Amino acid sequence: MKFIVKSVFFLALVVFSTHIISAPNFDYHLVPSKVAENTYVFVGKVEDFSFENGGNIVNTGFIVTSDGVVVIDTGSSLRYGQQMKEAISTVTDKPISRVFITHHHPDHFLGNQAFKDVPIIALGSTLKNINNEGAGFADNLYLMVGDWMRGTDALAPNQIATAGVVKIGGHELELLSLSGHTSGDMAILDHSTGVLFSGDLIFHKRTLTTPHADISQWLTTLEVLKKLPFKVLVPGHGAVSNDKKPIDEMVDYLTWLDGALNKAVNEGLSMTDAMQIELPKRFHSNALLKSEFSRSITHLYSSYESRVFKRLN
Amino acid sequence: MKPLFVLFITLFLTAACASDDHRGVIEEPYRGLPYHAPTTLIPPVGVTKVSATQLKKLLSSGNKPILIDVYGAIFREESLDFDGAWLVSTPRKNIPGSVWLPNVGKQELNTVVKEYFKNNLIELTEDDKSKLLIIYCIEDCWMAWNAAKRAHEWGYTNVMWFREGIDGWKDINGLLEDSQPVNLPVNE
Repeated sequence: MKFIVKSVFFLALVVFSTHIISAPNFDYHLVPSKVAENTYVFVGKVEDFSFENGGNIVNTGFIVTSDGVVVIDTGSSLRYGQQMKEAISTVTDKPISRVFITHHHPDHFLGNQAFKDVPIIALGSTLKNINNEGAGFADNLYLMVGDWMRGTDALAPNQIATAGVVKIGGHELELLSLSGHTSGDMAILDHSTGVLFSGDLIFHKRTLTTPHADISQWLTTLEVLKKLPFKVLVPGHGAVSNDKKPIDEMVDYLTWLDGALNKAVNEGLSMTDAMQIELPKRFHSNALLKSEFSRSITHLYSSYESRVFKRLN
Repeated sequence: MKPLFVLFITLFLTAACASDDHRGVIEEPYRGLPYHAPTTLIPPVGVTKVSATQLKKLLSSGNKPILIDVYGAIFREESLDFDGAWLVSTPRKNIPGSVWLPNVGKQELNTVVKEYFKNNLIELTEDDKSKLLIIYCIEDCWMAWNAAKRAHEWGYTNVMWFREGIDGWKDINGLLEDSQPVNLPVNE
Protein backbone atom coordinates (compact mmCIF):
# COMPACT_ATOMS: atom_id res chain seq x y z
CA MET A 1 0.00 0.00 0.00
CA LYS A 2 2.75 2.33 1.03
CA PHE A 3 4.47 1.48 -2.26
CA ILE A 4 1.35 2.35 -4.25
CA VAL A 5 0.97 5.69 -2.49
CA LYS A 6 4.62 6.41 -3.11
CA SER A 7 4.32 5.42 -6.79
CA VAL A 8 1.27 7.61 -7.33
CA PHE A 9 3.02 10.50 -5.66
CA PHE A 10 6.10 9.93 -7.79
CA LEU A 11 4.04 9.73 -10.98
CA ALA A 12 2.21 12.92 -10.09
CA LEU A 13 5.54 14.57 -9.47
CA VAL A 14 6.91 13.38 -12.82
CA VAL A 15 3.82 14.57 -14.70
CA PHE A 16 3.84 17.87 -12.86
CA SER A 17 7.53 18.51 -13.31
CA THR A 18 7.68 17.56 -17.01
CA HIS A 19 4.68 19.79 -17.52
CA ILE A 20 6.62 22.72 -16.14
CA ILE A 21 9.81 21.94 -18.02
CA SER A 22 8.15 21.15 -21.32
CA ALA A 23 7.07 24.73 -21.95
CA PRO A 24 10.36 25.40 -23.71
CA ASN A 25 11.73 28.87 -23.37
CA PHE A 26 15.14 27.26 -23.74
CA ASP A 27 16.38 28.60 -20.43
CA TYR A 28 18.92 26.34 -18.70
CA HIS A 29 18.46 28.28 -15.43
CA LEU A 30 22.20 28.42 -14.88
CA VAL A 31 22.93 29.62 -11.36
CA PRO A 32 26.57 30.07 -10.36
CA SER A 33 27.35 28.32 -7.10
CA LYS A 34 30.39 29.56 -5.21
CA VAL A 35 32.79 26.77 -4.26
CA ALA A 36 35.82 28.84 -3.18
CA GLU A 37 37.18 32.38 -3.32
CA ASN A 38 36.52 33.76 -6.85
CA THR A 39 35.47 30.30 -8.02
CA TYR A 40 32.03 29.26 -9.24
CA VAL A 41 30.43 26.15 -10.69
CA PHE A 42 27.27 25.53 -12.74
CA VAL A 43 26.17 22.13 -11.51
CA GLY A 44 24.30 20.09 -14.13
CA LYS A 45 21.78 17.30 -13.65
CA VAL A 46 23.02 13.72 -13.20
CA GLU A 47 21.00 12.51 -16.18
CA ASP A 48 21.52 11.43 -19.75
CA PHE A 49 20.80 13.91 -22.57
CA SER A 50 17.10 14.61 -23.08
CA PHE A 51 14.85 17.28 -24.52
CA GLU A 52 13.68 18.03 -20.96
CA ASN A 53 17.18 18.86 -19.66
CA GLY A 54 18.37 20.35 -22.96
CA GLY A 55 21.78 18.81 -22.40
CA ASN A 56 22.40 20.52 -19.05
CA ILE A 57 23.97 17.39 -17.59
CA VAL A 58 27.47 18.68 -17.08
CA ASN A 59 29.43 20.81 -14.61
CA THR A 60 31.13 23.89 -15.98
CA GLY A 61 32.84 26.63 -14.01
CA PHE A 62 34.72 29.88 -13.91
CA ILE A 63 37.37 31.70 -11.90
CA VAL A 64 37.27 35.48 -11.52
CA THR A 65 40.84 36.78 -11.63
CA SER A 66 42.25 40.32 -11.76
CA ASP A 67 43.17 39.55 -15.36
CA GLY A 68 39.64 38.62 -16.43
CA VAL A 69 37.46 35.57 -16.07
CA VAL A 70 38.79 32.08 -16.80
CA VAL A 71 36.05 29.75 -18.05
CA ILE A 72 36.33 25.97 -17.72
CA ASP A 73 34.22 24.06 -20.27
CA THR A 74 31.39 25.68 -22.20
CA GLY A 75 28.48 23.23 -21.99
CA SER A 76 26.41 21.39 -24.55
CA SER A 77 25.12 24.03 -26.99
CA LEU A 78 25.43 27.58 -28.25
CA ARG A 79 22.47 28.53 -26.04
CA TYR A 80 24.28 27.04 -23.01
CA GLY A 81 27.42 29.06 -23.77
CA GLN A 82 25.45 32.27 -24.21
CA GLN A 83 23.48 31.72 -21.01
CA MET A 84 26.67 30.87 -19.17
CA LYS A 85 28.13 34.21 -20.24
CA GLU A 86 25.03 36.02 -18.98
CA ALA A 87 25.16 34.18 -15.66
CA ILE A 88 28.86 35.03 -15.27
CA SER A 89 28.03 38.72 -15.78
CA THR A 90 25.72 38.60 -12.75
CA VAL A 91 28.79 37.82 -10.60
CA THR A 92 31.44 40.07 -12.14
CA ASP A 93 31.76 42.80 -14.73
CA LYS A 94 35.27 41.61 -15.62
CA PRO A 95 35.59 40.42 -19.22
CA ILE A 96 36.16 36.78 -20.06
CA SER A 97 39.85 36.41 -20.87
CA ARG A 98 40.18 32.76 -21.84
CA VAL A 99 38.48 29.38 -21.91
CA PHE A 100 39.89 25.96 -21.05
CA ILE A 101 38.27 22.84 -22.51
CA THR A 102 38.90 19.71 -20.44
CA HIS A 103 38.21 17.15 -23.21
CA HIS A 104 36.40 16.59 -26.50
CA HIS A 105 33.00 15.30 -25.37
CA PRO A 106 30.07 17.36 -26.69
CA ASP A 107 28.61 18.43 -23.34
CA HIS A 108 31.92 20.12 -22.52
CA PHE A 109 32.69 22.20 -25.60
CA LEU A 110 29.63 22.83 -27.80
CA GLY A 111 29.11 26.22 -26.14
CA ASN A 112 32.41 27.42 -27.64
CA GLN A 113 30.80 29.70 -30.24
CA ALA A 114 29.70 32.03 -27.42
CA PHE A 115 33.39 32.52 -26.55
CA LYS A 116 34.84 32.69 -30.05
CA ASP A 117 36.54 36.06 -29.48
CA VAL A 118 38.88 34.85 -26.72
CA PRO A 119 41.53 32.12 -26.61
CA ILE A 120 39.87 28.68 -26.30
CA ILE A 121 42.58 26.41 -25.00
CA ALA A 122 42.74 22.61 -24.99
CA LEU A 123 45.25 19.78 -25.15
CA GLY A 124 46.52 18.92 -28.64
CA SER A 125 44.83 15.51 -28.46
CA THR A 126 41.52 17.18 -27.57
CA LEU A 127 41.81 19.50 -30.57
CA LYS A 128 42.49 16.52 -32.81
CA ASN A 129 39.53 14.61 -31.37
CA ILE A 130 37.20 17.58 -31.85
CA ASN A 131 38.30 17.99 -35.45
CA ASN A 132 37.60 14.29 -36.04
CA GLU A 133 34.38 13.82 -34.13
CA GLY A 134 32.95 17.21 -33.15
CA ALA A 135 30.53 17.75 -36.04
CA GLY A 136 29.17 14.21 -35.68
CA PHE A 137 28.58 14.78 -31.95
CA ALA A 138 26.63 17.96 -32.67
CA ASP A 139 24.59 16.22 -35.39
CA ASN A 140 23.67 13.50 -32.92
CA LEU A 141 22.75 15.94 -30.13
CA TYR A 142 20.17 17.60 -32.39
CA LEU A 143 18.38 14.25 -32.31
CA MET A 144 18.57 14.00 -28.52
CA VAL A 145 17.80 17.53 -27.34
CA GLY A 146 16.22 19.13 -30.43
CA ASP A 147 15.91 22.89 -30.71
CA TRP A 148 18.08 23.53 -27.63
CA MET A 149 20.87 23.09 -30.17
CA ARG A 150 19.75 25.89 -32.49
CA GLY A 151 22.73 27.54 -34.16
CA THR A 152 25.27 25.16 -32.62
CA ASP A 153 28.38 24.38 -34.63
CA ALA A 154 31.29 22.33 -33.32
CA LEU A 155 33.80 25.14 -32.93
CA ALA A 156 37.26 23.73 -32.24
CA PRO A 157 39.61 25.29 -29.66
CA ASN A 158 41.98 27.87 -31.15
CA GLN A 159 44.99 27.37 -28.89
CA ILE A 160 46.90 24.35 -27.64
CA ALA A 161 47.58 24.07 -23.92
CA THR A 162 51.02 23.46 -22.50
CA ALA A 163 51.03 21.36 -19.34
CA GLY A 164 52.43 23.15 -16.32
CA VAL A 165 51.75 26.16 -14.13
CA VAL A 166 50.35 29.40 -15.55
CA LYS A 167 49.84 32.55 -13.50
CA ILE A 168 46.66 34.36 -14.40
CA GLY A 169 45.60 37.48 -12.51
CA GLY A 170 46.75 36.31 -9.08
CA HIS A 171 45.76 32.67 -9.56
CA GLU A 172 48.33 29.96 -10.03
CA LEU A 173 46.74 27.37 -12.31
CA GLU A 174 48.36 24.02 -12.94
CA LEU A 175 47.28 22.41 -16.20
CA LEU A 176 47.65 18.63 -16.09
CA SER A 177 47.79 16.65 -19.31
CA LEU A 178 46.18 13.31 -18.48
CA SER A 179 44.15 10.57 -20.15
CA GLY A 180 41.96 7.55 -19.43
CA HIS A 181 38.43 8.87 -19.83
CA THR A 182 39.51 9.94 -23.31
CA SER A 183 42.89 10.18 -25.02
CA GLY A 184 43.19 13.79 -23.82
CA ASP A 185 41.86 14.81 -20.40
CA MET A 186 42.98 18.11 -18.93
CA ALA A 187 42.58 18.63 -15.19
CA ILE A 188 43.11 22.09 -13.74
CA LEU A 189 44.34 22.66 -10.20
CA ASP A 190 44.13 26.20 -8.86
CA HIS A 191 46.94 26.29 -6.29
CA SER A 192 45.67 29.62 -5.01
CA THR A 193 42.31 28.26 -3.88
CA GLY A 194 42.88 24.50 -3.81
CA VAL A 195 40.11 23.86 -6.32
CA LEU A 196 40.62 20.94 -8.69
CA PHE A 197 38.56 20.91 -11.89
CA SER A 198 38.87 17.25 -12.85
CA GLY A 199 36.72 17.21 -15.98
CA ASP A 200 35.25 13.76 -16.63
CA LEU A 201 38.16 11.99 -14.96
CA ILE A 202 35.75 12.11 -12.00
CA PHE A 203 32.05 11.28 -12.03
CA HIS A 204 30.58 11.73 -8.56
CA LYS A 205 27.61 9.51 -7.63
CA ARG A 206 26.88 9.33 -11.35
CA THR A 207 28.05 6.23 -13.20
CA LEU A 208 31.03 6.98 -15.42
CA THR A 209 30.91 6.76 -19.21
CA THR A 210 33.37 4.89 -21.40
CA PRO A 211 32.91 5.62 -25.12
CA HIS A 212 36.59 6.57 -25.44
CA ALA A 213 37.94 5.12 -22.21
CA ASP A 214 41.10 3.17 -21.45
CA ILE A 215 40.45 1.64 -18.05
CA SER A 216 44.01 0.82 -16.98
CA GLN A 217 45.19 4.27 -18.06
CA TRP A 218 42.25 5.82 -16.20
CA LEU A 219 43.22 3.96 -13.00
CA THR A 220 46.80 5.21 -13.31
CA THR A 221 45.52 8.76 -13.74
CA LEU A 222 43.32 8.48 -10.66
CA GLU A 223 46.44 7.73 -8.60
CA VAL A 224 47.92 10.99 -9.91
CA LEU A 225 44.79 12.95 -8.95
CA LYS A 226 44.78 11.41 -5.50
CA LYS A 227 48.20 12.85 -4.75
CA LEU A 228 47.23 16.41 -5.72
CA PRO A 229 46.90 18.88 -2.84
CA PHE A 230 43.31 19.95 -3.53
CA LYS A 231 40.66 21.07 -1.05
CA VAL A 232 37.67 21.23 -3.37
CA LEU A 233 36.96 18.75 -6.15
CA VAL A 234 34.77 19.84 -9.06
CA PRO A 235 33.90 16.67 -10.99
CA GLY A 236 32.71 16.67 -14.61
CA HIS A 237 29.38 15.26 -13.48
CA GLY A 238 27.81 15.15 -10.01
CA ALA A 239 28.12 17.13 -6.81
CA VAL A 240 31.18 19.15 -5.80
CA SER A 241 33.13 17.46 -3.02
CA ASN A 242 35.54 18.50 -0.26
CA ASP A 243 37.39 15.22 0.04
CA LYS A 244 39.01 12.44 -1.96
CA LYS A 245 36.16 9.99 -1.55
CA PRO A 246 34.88 10.43 -5.13
CA ILE A 247 38.31 9.32 -6.40
CA ASP A 248 38.23 6.17 -4.27
CA GLU A 249 34.74 5.43 -5.56
CA MET A 250 35.94 5.83 -9.13
CA VAL A 251 38.83 3.41 -8.50
CA ASP A 252 36.41 0.98 -6.88
CA TYR A 253 33.96 0.99 -9.81
CA LEU A 254 36.62 0.88 -12.55
CA THR A 255 38.43 -1.99 -10.83
CA TRP A 256 35.16 -3.88 -10.43
CA LEU A 257 34.17 -3.16 -14.07
CA ASP A 258 37.53 -4.41 -15.34
CA GLY A 259 37.25 -7.59 -13.28
CA ALA A 260 33.60 -8.18 -14.20
CA LEU A 261 34.28 -7.84 -17.93
CA ASN A 262 37.29 -10.14 -17.70
CA LYS A 263 35.29 -12.75 -15.85
CA ALA A 264 32.34 -12.52 -18.24
CA VAL A 265 34.56 -12.93 -21.28
CA ASN A 266 36.36 -15.90 -19.73
CA GLU A 267 33.02 -17.54 -18.95
CA GLY A 268 32.08 -17.11 -22.60
CA LEU A 269 29.12 -14.80 -21.97
CA SER A 270 27.65 -12.93 -24.91
CA MET A 271 27.32 -9.16 -24.68
CA THR A 272 23.61 -9.37 -23.92
CA ASP A 273 24.28 -11.96 -21.19
CA ALA A 274 27.00 -9.77 -19.74
CA MET A 275 24.53 -6.90 -19.53
CA GLN A 276 22.51 -9.01 -17.08
CA ILE A 277 25.37 -9.38 -14.58
CA GLU A 278 24.26 -8.51 -11.08
CA LEU A 279 25.59 -5.09 -10.14
CA PRO A 280 27.05 -4.77 -6.63
CA LYS A 281 24.82 -3.05 -4.06
CA ARG A 282 27.45 -0.43 -3.23
CA PHE A 283 27.02 1.11 -6.69
CA HIS A 284 23.22 1.17 -6.62
CA SER A 285 23.05 4.74 -5.39
CA ASN A 286 25.01 5.98 -8.42
CA ALA A 287 22.79 7.59 -11.05
CA LEU A 288 22.33 5.74 -14.38
CA LEU A 289 24.13 2.61 -13.14
CA LYS A 290 22.21 0.07 -15.24
CA SER A 291 22.19 2.04 -18.48
CA GLU A 292 25.83 3.13 -18.27
CA PHE A 293 26.97 -0.37 -17.40
CA SER A 294 25.19 -1.66 -20.52
CA ARG A 295 26.73 1.13 -22.59
CA SER A 296 30.17 0.24 -21.23
CA ILE A 297 29.66 -3.34 -22.39
CA THR A 298 28.99 -2.12 -25.92
CA HIS A 299 32.06 0.12 -25.77
CA LEU A 300 34.53 -2.27 -24.17
CA TYR A 301 33.44 -5.89 -24.56
CA SER A 302 35.06 -6.63 -27.89
CA SER A 303 38.46 -5.43 -26.65
CA TYR A 304 38.21 -7.80 -23.68
CA GLU A 305 37.15 -10.64 -25.97
CA SER A 306 40.06 -10.07 -28.30
CA ARG A 307 42.46 -10.41 -25.38
CA VAL A 308 41.06 -13.85 -24.49
CA PHE A 309 40.13 -15.31 -27.85
CA LYS A 310 43.05 -15.66 -30.23
CA ARG A 311 42.72 -16.13 -33.95
CA LEU A 312 43.54 -19.63 -35.05
CA ASN A 313 44.17 -18.93 -38.70
CA MET B 1 45.02 41.62 -91.35
CA LYS B 2 43.52 44.34 -89.19
CA PRO B 3 39.90 43.15 -89.38
CA LEU B 4 41.06 39.64 -88.57
CA PHE B 5 42.86 40.92 -85.50
CA VAL B 6 39.74 42.76 -84.36
CA LEU B 7 37.68 39.64 -84.90
CA PHE B 8 40.21 37.65 -82.88
CA ILE B 9 40.12 40.16 -80.01
CA THR B 10 36.32 40.23 -80.11
CA LEU B 11 36.13 36.47 -79.98
CA PHE B 12 38.66 36.35 -77.18
CA LEU B 13 36.74 38.92 -75.13
CA THR B 14 33.42 37.20 -75.77
CA ALA B 15 34.90 33.94 -74.63
CA ALA B 16 36.31 35.61 -71.52
CA CYS B 17 32.95 37.19 -70.70
CA ALA B 18 31.14 33.93 -71.30
CA SER B 19 33.42 32.10 -68.93
CA ASP B 20 32.92 34.86 -66.36
CA ASP B 21 29.17 34.53 -66.74
CA HIS B 22 29.53 30.83 -66.33
CA ARG B 23 31.52 31.23 -63.15
CA GLY B 24 28.73 33.45 -61.81
CA VAL B 25 26.18 30.64 -61.95
CA ILE B 26 28.31 27.85 -60.54
CA GLU B 27 26.15 26.60 -57.71
CA GLU B 28 26.99 25.46 -54.25
CA PRO B 29 27.13 21.68 -54.16
CA TYR B 30 24.67 19.57 -52.18
CA ARG B 31 25.67 19.41 -48.53
CA GLY B 32 26.62 16.12 -46.91
CA LEU B 33 26.89 15.07 -43.28
CA PRO B 34 26.35 16.48 -40.75
CA TYR B 35 22.84 17.44 -41.87
CA HIS B 36 22.03 18.95 -38.48
CA ALA B 37 24.21 22.04 -38.42
CA PRO B 38 23.61 25.75 -38.83
CA THR B 39 22.81 26.35 -42.50
CA THR B 40 23.59 29.28 -44.71
CA LEU B 41 21.01 32.09 -44.72
CA ILE B 42 21.11 32.11 -48.52
CA PRO B 43 18.69 29.82 -50.34
CA PRO B 44 19.89 27.64 -53.22
CA VAL B 45 20.00 29.39 -56.59
CA GLY B 46 16.50 29.73 -58.03
CA VAL B 47 14.79 29.13 -54.69
CA THR B 48 13.32 31.84 -52.44
CA LYS B 49 13.31 31.92 -48.69
CA VAL B 50 10.11 32.17 -46.70
CA SER B 51 9.82 33.21 -43.04
CA ALA B 52 7.39 31.78 -40.51
CA THR B 53 5.17 34.85 -40.57
CA GLN B 54 5.14 34.95 -44.37
CA LEU B 55 4.26 31.27 -44.40
CA LYS B 56 1.38 31.88 -41.98
CA LYS B 57 -0.03 34.51 -44.36
CA LEU B 58 0.42 32.22 -47.35
CA LEU B 59 -1.44 29.43 -45.58
CA SER B 60 -4.41 31.65 -44.86
CA SER B 61 -4.56 32.86 -48.46
CA GLY B 62 -6.73 31.22 -51.10
CA ASN B 63 -3.79 29.79 -53.01
CA LYS B 64 -2.48 27.17 -50.59
CA PRO B 65 1.10 26.02 -51.11
CA ILE B 66 2.23 22.40 -51.01
CA LEU B 67 4.07 21.83 -47.72
CA ILE B 68 6.81 19.23 -47.74
CA ASP B 69 8.58 18.13 -44.57
CA VAL B 70 11.86 16.36 -45.36
CA TYR B 71 12.96 15.42 -41.81
CA GLY B 72 15.05 12.25 -41.79
CA ALA B 73 13.97 8.69 -41.04
CA ILE B 74 15.69 5.35 -41.47
CA PHE B 75 15.53 3.71 -44.88
CA ARG B 76 15.47 -0.08 -44.82
CA GLU B 77 15.90 -1.95 -48.07
CA GLU B 78 13.98 -4.91 -46.66
CA SER B 79 10.86 -2.85 -45.96
CA LEU B 80 10.41 -2.57 -49.75
CA ASP B 81 9.37 -6.23 -49.71
CA PHE B 82 6.63 -5.45 -47.19
CA ASP B 83 4.80 -2.17 -46.72
CA GLY B 84 7.56 0.29 -47.69
CA ALA B 85 7.41 1.94 -44.26
CA TRP B 86 10.19 4.18 -43.01
CA LEU B 87 11.64 3.52 -39.57
CA VAL B 88 10.83 6.53 -37.42
CA SER B 89 12.89 6.82 -34.23
CA THR B 90 10.79 9.42 -32.39
CA PRO B 91 7.24 10.62 -33.11
CA ARG B 92 7.24 13.67 -35.33
CA LYS B 93 4.93 16.65 -35.36
CA ASN B 94 4.87 19.02 -38.30
CA ILE B 95 2.83 21.83 -39.83
CA PRO B 96 -0.79 20.72 -40.45
CA GLY B 97 -1.41 19.81 -44.07
CA SER B 98 2.21 18.83 -44.71
CA VAL B 99 3.41 15.78 -46.56
CA TRP B 100 6.38 14.10 -44.91
CA LEU B 101 8.92 12.77 -47.41
CA PRO B 102 11.97 11.68 -45.37
CA ASN B 103 15.55 11.82 -46.63
CA VAL B 104 14.78 13.41 -50.02
CA GLY B 105 17.24 16.14 -49.06
CA LYS B 106 20.24 13.89 -48.56
CA GLN B 107 23.38 14.76 -50.49
CA GLU B 108 22.87 11.83 -52.84
CA LEU B 109 19.71 9.80 -53.34
CA ASN B 110 19.55 6.11 -54.07
CA THR B 111 17.32 5.16 -57.01
CA VAL B 112 14.36 4.23 -54.83
CA VAL B 113 14.30 7.50 -52.88
CA LYS B 114 14.94 9.54 -56.01
CA GLU B 115 11.94 8.00 -57.82
CA TYR B 116 9.90 8.36 -54.61
CA PHE B 117 10.64 12.10 -54.46
CA LYS B 118 10.01 12.60 -58.19
CA ASN B 119 6.73 10.70 -58.20
CA ASN B 120 5.44 12.33 -55.05
CA LEU B 121 6.20 15.76 -56.50
CA ILE B 122 4.31 14.88 -59.70
CA GLU B 123 1.34 13.65 -57.70
CA LEU B 124 1.30 16.60 -55.29
CA THR B 125 1.56 19.21 -58.06
CA GLU B 126 -0.71 17.32 -60.47
CA ASP B 127 2.28 17.53 -62.80
CA ASP B 128 2.21 21.33 -62.81
CA LYS B 129 5.80 22.55 -62.41
CA SER B 130 4.65 26.06 -61.50
CA LYS B 131 2.84 25.03 -58.30
CA LEU B 132 4.23 26.58 -55.11
CA LEU B 133 6.31 24.12 -53.05
CA ILE B 134 7.47 24.95 -49.52
CA ILE B 135 10.22 22.70 -48.22
CA TYR B 136 11.30 22.49 -44.57
CA CYS B 137 12.39 20.26 -41.67
CA ILE B 138 13.88 21.83 -38.52
CA GLU B 139 16.11 24.83 -37.96
CA ASP B 140 19.74 23.98 -38.77
CA CYS B 141 18.78 21.33 -41.34
CA TRP B 142 20.69 21.04 -44.58
CA MET B 143 18.29 18.41 -45.88
CA ALA B 144 15.61 21.07 -46.47
CA TRP B 145 18.13 23.25 -48.32
CA ASN B 146 19.26 20.28 -50.44
CA ALA B 147 15.69 19.17 -51.21
CA ALA B 148 14.65 22.69 -52.30
CA LYS B 149 17.69 22.86 -54.57
CA ARG B 150 16.84 19.45 -56.02
CA ALA B 151 13.21 20.34 -56.75
CA HIS B 152 14.34 23.51 -58.51
CA GLU B 153 16.88 21.59 -60.58
CA TRP B 154 14.15 19.17 -61.61
CA GLY B 155 12.30 22.07 -63.18
CA TYR B 156 9.93 23.26 -60.44
CA THR B 157 9.83 27.01 -60.87
CA ASN B 158 8.19 28.09 -57.63
CA VAL B 159 10.14 26.57 -54.76
CA MET B 160 10.47 28.13 -51.33
CA TRP B 161 12.79 27.13 -48.53
CA PHE B 162 11.43 27.57 -45.00
CA ARG B 163 14.78 27.64 -43.27
CA GLU B 164 13.58 27.63 -39.65
CA GLY B 165 11.24 24.65 -40.12
CA ILE B 166 9.08 23.46 -37.23
CA ASP B 167 11.28 25.27 -34.70
CA GLY B 168 10.61 28.61 -36.38
CA TRP B 169 6.94 27.65 -36.63
CA LYS B 170 6.87 27.04 -32.86
CA ASP B 171 8.51 30.44 -32.33
CA ILE B 172 5.39 32.13 -33.68
CA ASN B 173 3.16 29.71 -31.72
CA GLY B 174 2.15 27.88 -34.89
CA LEU B 175 0.24 24.63 -34.36
CA LEU B 176 1.87 21.29 -35.05
CA GLU B 177 0.21 17.93 -35.49
CA ASP B 178 1.34 14.30 -35.46
CA SER B 179 2.65 13.12 -38.78
CA GLN B 180 3.64 9.90 -40.50
CA PRO B 181 5.95 9.72 -43.51
CA VAL B 182 4.60 8.67 -46.90
CA ASN B 183 5.56 5.02 -47.48
CA LEU B 184 8.04 4.06 -50.15
CA PRO B 185 6.83 2.18 -53.23
CA VAL B 186 7.03 -1.57 -52.57
CA ASN B 187 8.65 -4.11 -54.86
CA GLU B 188 6.39 -5.73 -57.44
